[in-house]
Amino acid sequence: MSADDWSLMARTGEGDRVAFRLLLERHGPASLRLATRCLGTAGQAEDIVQEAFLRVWREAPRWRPQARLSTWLYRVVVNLCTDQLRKPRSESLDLVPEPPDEREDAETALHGRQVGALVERTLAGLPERQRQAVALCYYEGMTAAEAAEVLDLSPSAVEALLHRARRSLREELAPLLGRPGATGREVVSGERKDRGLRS
Amino acid sequence: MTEEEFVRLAETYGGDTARWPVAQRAAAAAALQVKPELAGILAEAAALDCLLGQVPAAKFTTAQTDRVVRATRQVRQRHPQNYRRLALQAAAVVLCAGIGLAAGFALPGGPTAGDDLEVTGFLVFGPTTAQEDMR
Repeated sequence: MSADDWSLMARTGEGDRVAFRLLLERHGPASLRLATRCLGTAGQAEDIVQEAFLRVWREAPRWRPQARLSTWLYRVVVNLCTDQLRKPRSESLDLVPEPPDEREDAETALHGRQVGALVERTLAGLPERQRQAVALCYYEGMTAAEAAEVLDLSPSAVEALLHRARRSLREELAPLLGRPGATGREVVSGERKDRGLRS
Repeated sequence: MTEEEFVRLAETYGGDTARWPVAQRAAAAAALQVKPELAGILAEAAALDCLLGQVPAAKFTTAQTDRVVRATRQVRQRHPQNYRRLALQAAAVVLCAGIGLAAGFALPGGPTAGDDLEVTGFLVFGPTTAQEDMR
């Protein structure tokens, strides 16, 4: 936790909303990105971020700088997302990721926002823990050790999640990668097999 | 670094070795020098990185910031319990009660210890037979 976060938390603990706003401006964007990627859609990510920051506000007077604020905050966001995803589907229909459009032509998808949308849907289809690891390491630039702290896992477990996530993504997005889902290992060892485009 | 290890890291962290664990970067650079074809592995991983980078990022707007700040008005902050202060307050109450009782017994015309016991007995056990007879 940087000295700035410390002092802002101390001021927030005294009821200073200006300091709280600065914390929100500093950590809000990453929290929203994380919530959006953990939930798979932007649906209720804003509400998750609001709840997470209201916890910051509530707990600020008792805050002890034992961990970085961002680590604690991201853990709150991830846990809130997990709770949200475990609610009955009828309460959160907008969180159900849209299934990949099998008819989508890979060449068309290479253009414009369609590619991003397709990749986003593919990410949303990953298992929850893999999605969280990808969001923290790829999108928020955390190391495996930092992500492990947020997810309450070992760094090697986070590495395993990232590895599995990448393998799934590579297979799902093979049409966009211009090749049929071959792995690096296959290229190196000459074992590459033509698996064909997803029909 | 073995080729297997290089591939595993590329398939975990992507095609930019700057994003690999710090402890592995020098070994990765050395492996690339020994075996230049490993660059193909990085290129392939980078293609996936590129796709991942095309996912639009949610924007946190000023309106959202305002909404959260406004919402704090409905939330009370939790202040830490100051046990030392609570203990001092409790001690002060006990001390005042003690001084009050002592002063009550010490003053002329105040209740005696016997009176006090009688009142306590009445409150706890009810009236005695003699007190009942007096009614």
